[in-house]
Parts: sequence; structure tokens; C-alpha cells
Amino acid sequence: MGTSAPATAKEQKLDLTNCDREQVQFISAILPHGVLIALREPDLTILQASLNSSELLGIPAQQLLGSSLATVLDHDQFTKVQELSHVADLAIPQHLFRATAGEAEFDVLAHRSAGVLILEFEKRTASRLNDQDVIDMYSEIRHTLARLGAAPNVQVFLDLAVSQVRKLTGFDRVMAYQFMPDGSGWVRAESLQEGEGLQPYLEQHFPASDIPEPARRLLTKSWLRHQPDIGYTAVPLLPAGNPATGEPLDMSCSVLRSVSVMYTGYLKNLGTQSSMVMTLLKEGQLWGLIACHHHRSPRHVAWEIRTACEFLAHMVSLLLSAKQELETRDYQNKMQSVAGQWLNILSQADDLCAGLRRLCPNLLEFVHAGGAAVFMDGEIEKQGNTPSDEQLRVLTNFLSIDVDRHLFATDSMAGELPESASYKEVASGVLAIRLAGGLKHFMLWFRPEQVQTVSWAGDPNKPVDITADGQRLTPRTSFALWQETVRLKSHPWLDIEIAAARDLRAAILEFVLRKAEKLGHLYEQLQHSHSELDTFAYVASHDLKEPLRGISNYSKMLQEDCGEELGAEARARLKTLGRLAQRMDSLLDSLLEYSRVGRIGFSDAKVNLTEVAEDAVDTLLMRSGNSNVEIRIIPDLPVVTGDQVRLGEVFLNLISNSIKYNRNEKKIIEVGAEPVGSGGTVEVYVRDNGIGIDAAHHEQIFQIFRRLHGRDEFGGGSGVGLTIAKKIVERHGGKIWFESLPRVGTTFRFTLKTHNPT
Amino acid sequence: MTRERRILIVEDSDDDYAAMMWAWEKAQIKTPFVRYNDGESALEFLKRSASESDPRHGDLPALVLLDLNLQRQDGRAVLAEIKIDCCLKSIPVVIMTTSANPKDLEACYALGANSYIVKPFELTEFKDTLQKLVAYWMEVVRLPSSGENDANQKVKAAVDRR
Repeated sequence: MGTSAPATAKEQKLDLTNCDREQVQFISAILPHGVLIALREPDLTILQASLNSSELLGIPAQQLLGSSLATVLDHDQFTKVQELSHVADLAIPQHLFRATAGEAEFDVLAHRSAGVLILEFEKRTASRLNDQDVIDMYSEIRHTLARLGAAPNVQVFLDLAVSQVRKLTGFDRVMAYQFMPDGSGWVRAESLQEGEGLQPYLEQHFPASDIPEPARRLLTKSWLRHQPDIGYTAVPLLPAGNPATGEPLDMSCSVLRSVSVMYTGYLKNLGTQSSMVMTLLKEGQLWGLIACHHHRSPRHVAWEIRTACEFLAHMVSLLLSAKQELETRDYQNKMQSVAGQWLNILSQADDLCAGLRRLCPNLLEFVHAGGAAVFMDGEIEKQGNTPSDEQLRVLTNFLSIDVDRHLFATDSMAGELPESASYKEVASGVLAIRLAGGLKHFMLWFRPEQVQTVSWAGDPNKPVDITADGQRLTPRTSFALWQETVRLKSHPWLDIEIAAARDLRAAILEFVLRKAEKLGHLYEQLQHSHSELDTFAYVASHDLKEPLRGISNYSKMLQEDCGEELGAEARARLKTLGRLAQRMDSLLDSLLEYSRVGRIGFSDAKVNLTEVAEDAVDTLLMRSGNSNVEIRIIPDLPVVTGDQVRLGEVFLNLISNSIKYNRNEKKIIEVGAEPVGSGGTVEVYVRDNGIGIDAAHHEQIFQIFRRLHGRDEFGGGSGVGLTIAKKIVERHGGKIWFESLPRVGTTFRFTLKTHNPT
Repeated sequence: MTRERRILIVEDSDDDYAAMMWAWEKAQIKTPFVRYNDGESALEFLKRSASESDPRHGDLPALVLLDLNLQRQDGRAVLAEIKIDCCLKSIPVVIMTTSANPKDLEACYALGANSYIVKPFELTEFKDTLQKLVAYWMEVVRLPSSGENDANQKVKAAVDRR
């Protein structure tokens, strides 16, 4: 980095991604508090040595090159290193022994990198630890592990981890830092030295570029890295490359490896003098870091303590998964148990809508959300903070566009439906499930816009400052809290929330399906008993007619043949007998007709209501020959779908009633129609100026054989006309009703489906 | 021997038959008739009358008055058998029934019924109907003679031989 020409730098997005190309592991330089020696096995000839060997070990690097390691170590130490040739796996530095050179004491660590054995002599500068200290430290760690294991959730767990690391190491600041899906970092927990006026970073977010890709890669390779003094001067290796191959030494796992200038610059800008970073993995993936900073002075952490910290980081990593799983499982269990309760409630309801209405007060129990709603084909029930009914209508219309999209989850609704920005305060995030294929039934949850919630450590879009001459990029210096207003976005929906919503939908649909099956079965039974009833009515009335005819016939014969002998009274009774039989016969005819309307198939054709009404009027006027009747048919009655003959009967029945129950000089009857609702349905009316129907009788008017007037008043009738009209309308899928005022008139209304050519 | 040709009445209800006889008398109808009270025996009578070997050969009725609601074999089946039998099909069959069902009416004409009469409920009306009916079929129209039935039989015999 830092080598790009200024022009290029300006064109590029200015951030630390320039670092992404820097290969830190081949830096060929080390931190100054130790000596690195690279060796060829098995003869242990020195290939490379750090330039500070004369200063720390008393032998100039130049002199070491090509000679045996025996020039540095005593016999026992040399033998120990020799024995390493039998150890195949030596990827991670191992503590071999302690060595001294003059006054200085060193921890000698060995590891192997690309076939080269690397010995690192780390100078012990920290306060000495005696055996008791080490024993105390391990009992402290054991105690910590027990407490970590008992932590009820991730937050408590991380708080505990950072405070224990600070206790062990004495750093001013220890943070648990989680990588977010976008690569940015979020300080989840922080332990801070009090009384030093240190600015807390807790809850702050750091841009992804703060820890560039190569650094992140290296984080997964070693559990712990420590820079005791950020202000160090790097010590180069001599020679820079392997003398045999010319390749630079791969120092990925080296304890003493020098770091990028960019990184030390960054830490300096944070006011850090010493740092230690531990990797947190979750299921093998980089989850986050425990980052330790010391602000007051450089700070060297002894190898033993680092090992203890490393061990702690291992344990935190292992337990982290379990803690998160515990949290996730608790949440999942909660969602599942709510879904279970809901299905229970639904199963007790008569239908889906009734059930959903009963769920409404508890909608927010299911997922973390600010508001929720149930949309049932236009009917809306809400809970919490939600968009308005009208906005919900537009939203569900949008969700209905793709009929195959049963589940919808977004944390930025405005990105999908721009007008939803107007209700971003309540519903920037939307989670919705569609409950029925054909109908618009939705269950929705809303999350508010997540404003002022991201606190960046500095402006995330300006992580790099350009120096005055514009020639160099330096890591950003502003870490003051910079609150970014994240517009039109909510907290994202978690995978488990989306999965739970999907499961809930599947369970509700299954319930709906089962209910439909049950209803279908009931409908079949009903159909069956219905048709049995019709058959019964037909057969019964048919078979009743025959004996009735006999009664009528014999009474007639008696009257005619023996009339003289019977006398006047008996003759009159015989006549009455005949008349009663005749009326019963006409009642049976009506019953037959009624049962026939139930049994016969109706056609499903295009019917012009104007023609049907005109035909009915012609028939009636021809029959009654009434000159004081005026029937007006409003022009252009709609074209409907149905059975022409049967619809004609409806008009016949209604209009003939209008004529019959009318005492006016001028009987005026009007037939018309009006569209209703969203289309597809028309309301037809037959209005008269007749005697009207008393409100007390409104219930009975459609009942079979129900007559409101004396048998011979108003020209008589069997009392089946309206019953048949009702049955015909209902078999067309319509409704029939009336409005009436006594002595003013009656308007009968019925609905039919308009004809749809497709 | 030429006898006056009869009307075959197929009626299973004795009460209805009684009413009919009453009306017959009141209407002073002179045409002789024969009554069968079920479809099977009526058909058997018709087939015997049509057969050359039977002593009653040539005694085919001029008209059949057929009720639809019969015990066992239904009136529609009797009508169908008459109308597919080449020796019987030219005999006019008048359906007399209480059924005003359009389906029955259509079915009977489709099977070859020559008239379909819904029996009036009122006996006096029934008498009038009967009077008109008999007058029409026995006096107004001309019916095929027994000789023409013989011609039919010859056709049938020719068909049988082939």
C-alpha cells in the first residue's frame, strides 16, 4: 500500500482495501523484543536471522548465517531442537525452553513454516511470574470457565469474557468485537480501565475496511497476536529471502512477525500503545475478536499469560456456538409454542377468518416486531404500530402481485415499494405470509426504521485520510462517535424468524385444508340429504294425489247419482269435500313444482334480463287481462348468467304478487337493476305500490305455504310462489330480500351474477 | 266376422277405473272397451291379437288408453314395446296420466305416443275430456284397418324369411 499514484488513489474508493493486496505474512521483519532464526533441518544450519541478534544474543546476524545453531545454544538446548525433526506437526509455535543471554531471559518458541524451522527468542520483559502466580492464574481460569458455562445468554457471556481477559492481562481496554454480515465490526462487550478518561467503544460499529481482508485471513491462522509496543521499529531479517530459494519467509504464524504500517498507524490513531488480539471462531468461521488495547504505555504480556488467554479464547469460541444456539433455540421454542397455541385457537374456530380475528390481540407474541396485522380479503385487524388500513391495502395488493410468493421478508420495504417510505417509521421491515391461495389473506409483522442506532467509530465512509500533499493514504484519525442515520432500513429478519413464519404458514394452510375437507364432506352429506328430501317431496306428493283423486271422484259420483236422495245439507257437504280435495290437489302441485326446482339441473347460460322480464310481463298481462296495471321495465337490464326459464319464473312470481296484492286504481310496477360492489354482481328489483307487508310478517314471507291473507282474498294462491322464487335465486348463488311499507308498497330485490364472456 | 273395434284401457287403479266407467256412462260413449290392469297382461293381449295362429287374431284394438303409473311394468315401457313392434305400432296410443311433468310428456312423445292427456282432477271435466277424446279418435279420424295390419304382417313375414 501507499505506493499508488495520487491520481489513481483519487479515482479509487479511498479506504483500507488498498491493504488487501499487501501480503503481511511475507513482511520479512520482526518486532524488536526478540530474535528470529530460520533453520534448515536436520543439520540446523542457520538460513536467516534478525538483525538485532547482536544486540539481544550478542552474536551479529551476519556471523550466524551459514553456521550451526550450536553457536547460539548449549548442548542440551541444541539436542532439544534436534529432536524436533521427529515432530511432524509443528505449525503453531511451541515453547521449547527458557534461554538466557547475558542479563536477558528468553522464551524460545519453535514452529515450522514451508519446510523451514523457525526459532523465536522472545525476550521476557514483563514482571516475573513465580510458580504460585501460575497456579493462581490457572485456578482463576478454571473458575472463569465455570462461570462462562453458566452464562444464560450471549451478552452476559461476552461481558464476562472481556472482564476476565482484562483481569488476566491488565490492559486498559478489552473488547469483544463481532463481525457483521457486511464485514463491519460491532463492539458487543467492553471492559475499560476506570479513571483514565478513556472513551468507551461499546456498541460502536467499525467499518469493514478497518480490518482488511489479509488481516482477517491471518486472524483465522493464529489464535493470538501481540504487539507490546506499537511505536516499535521493525527489525529486518538477513537476508530478506531464503538463501537457497530466494523466497521470502512465510511468517503467518510467527509470534514476532512485524505488522503492516497501516495497522500500527491505525492503532496509533486510536491512542493505543500496546495491543493484543485473540480470534473468536464459531463453527470454524471467523465470528469476531477479543481486542486488548493499552493506552497509557507499552505493555508486554508474558508468554504464560498469553497462553492462558489463548486458552480462554478457545473456550469462548467453543462455548459461543452453544450460547448462541441456546439463545436461538429459546427464541425458536417460543415461536413454535406461540404457533402451537394459535393453531389450537384456529382449530376451535368456525372458519379461518373467525380464527384469525381471535389471534389478533396476540400477534406480537410471535416474533420481535413493532406492529402486526391480519388482512382478510379487505378486513383488517391490527396490533401495535402499523401502517394505516389504506396503506395496508396498497401493501397487500403489492404482495399479491406474485401469487407464488407465499412468504415475504424485507428490512427495506421502500426498496420494494417506494411509496412505503411514507410509513417507514412503523414498517421499514415487513415480514408477511400469505394464508390462502385464491384469497388475499395475509399475516404481517412490521419493524420500524432503524434510525440513530448505528454508532460508527468515525465516519464509515471516510476511513482514510489523505495527507496534506495528497500523496499518501493514512488510516483515519477520527474515531469520535459518528451516528449514521440509516434510512429506510429496519433490523433484518433473522433466518429463524423467516423459517418460523414459513412453518406457521404451512401449519395454517394444512389446517385450512383439513377444514375444507371436512366441509366438503359435510357438503356432500347435505347435498345427499337435500336431494333425498326433494325426491321424497316428489314421490310423496305424487302418491298422495292418487287417493285424493279417488275421494274427489267418489264425492262427485255421489253428488250426481244420489243427490236427490241425500238432501240439500248432505249435498252441500259433499260439494265441500270435493272442493277441499281440489285445494289439496293444488297444494300438492305446488309442492311438486317446488321440489322440481330443487332437483332439476339449471343451465348456466347468458341471459338477457330485459327479454326475460318482458316475456314474464306479456304472459301475466295476457293471463290477467288487466287494463289498470302498468308495468315499467327500466331499459337495458343487465345480461346475467343463469337459467332463462327459471329466472322467468322469478319475475312471474314477483310481478304476479305485485299485481295480486294491490288495491290501487292504478297498479304500478317497476322492474330495474343496479350494479353492486366491485362488479360481477347486479341487484334486480321489482317495486310495486301495493298493500305492503307488515313488518311482523317479514320473517314468514318466504316460507312454503305461508299465506298472510285469507285464502280467497287477493285471488287466492297456494303460497309457494315466493318460496320457489327464493330457491331459484339461491340456486343461482344470489340472495333475495325485500323492503316494504304497509299501504305504500313493496320492493323485492335479488342479486345475480353478471355474465362474464370469459 | 267383423266386430266393432274396441278400445284397450290399461289402468291399474280400480278407483280410477271406476271413475272412468262413471264418466264413460255419463258421456254415453258406446264404443266397446277391454280393460287390463297391468302392463304385462295388456301387452300379452296385444301380441296374441296380432298373431295369425291365435284364434283371436284380427281382434286388435283401435285405440289404446294407457296410464303411466302402473305396478311392475311402467306405462312408458309398455308404450315403447308397442311402438317398436311392427304389428302394433300403428295402433294409436293415448297417454292418460296425472303427471304434468314436462319430462314425462317429452319422453312419451319421443317414444311415439299419439296424444298425451293430463287427467283433469275434476270428474266432470274428466268426463268432458273423455267424451272429446273418444269422439276424436273413433269418429273424426280414420284409423288403419285390420287389413292394413295384415299388410304389416306380410312385411314382417318377408323380413323374417330373409
